[in-house]
Amino acid sequence: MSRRCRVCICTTLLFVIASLQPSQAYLRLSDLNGSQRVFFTWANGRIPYFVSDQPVPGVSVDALEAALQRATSNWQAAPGSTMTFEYQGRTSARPLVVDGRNTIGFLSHPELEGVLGVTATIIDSVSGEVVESDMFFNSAVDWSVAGNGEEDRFDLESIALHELGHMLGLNHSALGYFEVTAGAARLAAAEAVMFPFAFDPGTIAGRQLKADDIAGAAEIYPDAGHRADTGAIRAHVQLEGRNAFGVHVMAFNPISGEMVAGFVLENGDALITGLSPGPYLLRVEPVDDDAVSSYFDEPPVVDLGFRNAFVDRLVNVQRGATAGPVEITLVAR
Amino acid sequence: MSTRLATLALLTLVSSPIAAMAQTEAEPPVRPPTVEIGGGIGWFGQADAGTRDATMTANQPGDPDRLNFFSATGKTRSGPAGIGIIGVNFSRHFGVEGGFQYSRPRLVIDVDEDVEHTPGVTIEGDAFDQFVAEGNFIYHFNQARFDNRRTVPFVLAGVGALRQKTDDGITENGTIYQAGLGFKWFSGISSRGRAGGPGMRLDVRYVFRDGGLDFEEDARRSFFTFTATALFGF
Repeated sequence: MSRRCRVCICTTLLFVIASLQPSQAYLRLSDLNGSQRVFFTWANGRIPYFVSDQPVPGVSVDALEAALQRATSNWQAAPGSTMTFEYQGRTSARPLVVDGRNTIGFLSHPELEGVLGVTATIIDSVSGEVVESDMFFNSAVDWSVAGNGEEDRFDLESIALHELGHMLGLNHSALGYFEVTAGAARLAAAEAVMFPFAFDPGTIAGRQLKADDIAGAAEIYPDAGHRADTGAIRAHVQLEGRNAFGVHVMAFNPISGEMVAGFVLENGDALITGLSPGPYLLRVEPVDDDAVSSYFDEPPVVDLGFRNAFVDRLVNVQRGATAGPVEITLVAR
Repeated sequence: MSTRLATLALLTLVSSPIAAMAQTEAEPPVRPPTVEIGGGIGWFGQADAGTRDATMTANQPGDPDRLNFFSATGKTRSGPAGIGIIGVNFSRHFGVEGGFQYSRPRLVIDVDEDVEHTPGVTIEGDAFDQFVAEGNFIYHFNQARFDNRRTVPFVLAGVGALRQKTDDGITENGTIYQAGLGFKWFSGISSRGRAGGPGMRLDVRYVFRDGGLDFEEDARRSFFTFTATALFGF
């Protein structure tokens, strides 16, 4: 059997320092093998990694290791999922060198303006199994590992938590909101570590996984009871008489406050999993046209020309079951 | 002449209630039935279910605020209920009763205040099962009986256990506290002065709900209920 591998650059871009306004959802990293969508995953949920032994101003290798330790522990503690990050020690190798090792460290890329971190992953494009995944933090920006953050420095642990999500197989979430004042856009809020834009320097709010991140991790690496304890919503979304693509569908439980979302992929379907049982209301919106590349690598067939809307029915999610399909017809704008 | 007539008329008016009271006192006092059982229907009023904001973590250093993305405000629609009661009266005035109610209220949600100006919407949820097991103290105003002493006003106060169960398997428990007033009517009064036989009861209650299906933690909601119950007393 031929084993066809390729570097998936779709995993890369992360945490731009402010651009425009997306919406919400967790999304798994995937690739198209012909017409078949293949999702990234680690065999047995084990992710061994090395730490590159190059420090940067303000962050020693010890501090990098400690920040990664906290971030990996955070993911490992996510309810409903089971995966293990296994620290293998230091290496003199640099990230992005294809050597069969998963290496995490700093690289200086001042030309990548606004890019804080990059994760590049090689997969078996037939099975989706990860062959190698490297991660670097851009040392062209100032980093902090201080417990309460430092003014004018990005929090390394927060960015590591996001990049580790990519390593696990998660793509970007769009659970965030930009506000535009006087023609300038600024990230106002986010509710997913996997949102592609970072909080301001000095902020450490990105150290905490949210419901959307947790649902995404559990979807890829479910523990024994996850699928029986949670439910899902399937939505079928149409625009102008055809199946839509790339539409963002948010599910919100008004009793628990849980907010998880998904994207419409093939056949006009969006599947939002990992939901605790209860009533959910649904909200649909397009991703911002400036942010499409943060979510989709494929040719730009993402539907953007429709209006935000709430679905006018409540969806009841039961344990171990998938509600729907909820038929949603978008209104073009 | 006219002054005498007016005085007589006034005396008549004053003396008539006295005569009636004297007649009442001459009759044996009426007691409520020792045991009452009944079943009927009720109507519970609409109740708030609170507001839950869909929020996001604000981009702030330190302990960040929450940014409201949109708001969801719930209420349970008014609707009918089935009622069963059994009561024991241990004096002319006092009694206790246990009751059970079953209803199928519907959750309705108003979604609005979307930060991106998404048009608001009112969403009708599915009906859910609501069970109440209650216990009440009753005080009968026997001195205020009317309708040939067959009807007696009463007040009640009590507590109950609330269980709400949605079709998606969610179960919420709570407690209700209620106070109310009403009338009981029994068709017969025995020679020993005990009311009984077929009867009827109407009451209105003001209910506080603590817990149950709600969008807010530790919320206490209030609503009215009206009940009409067919009784049998013996």
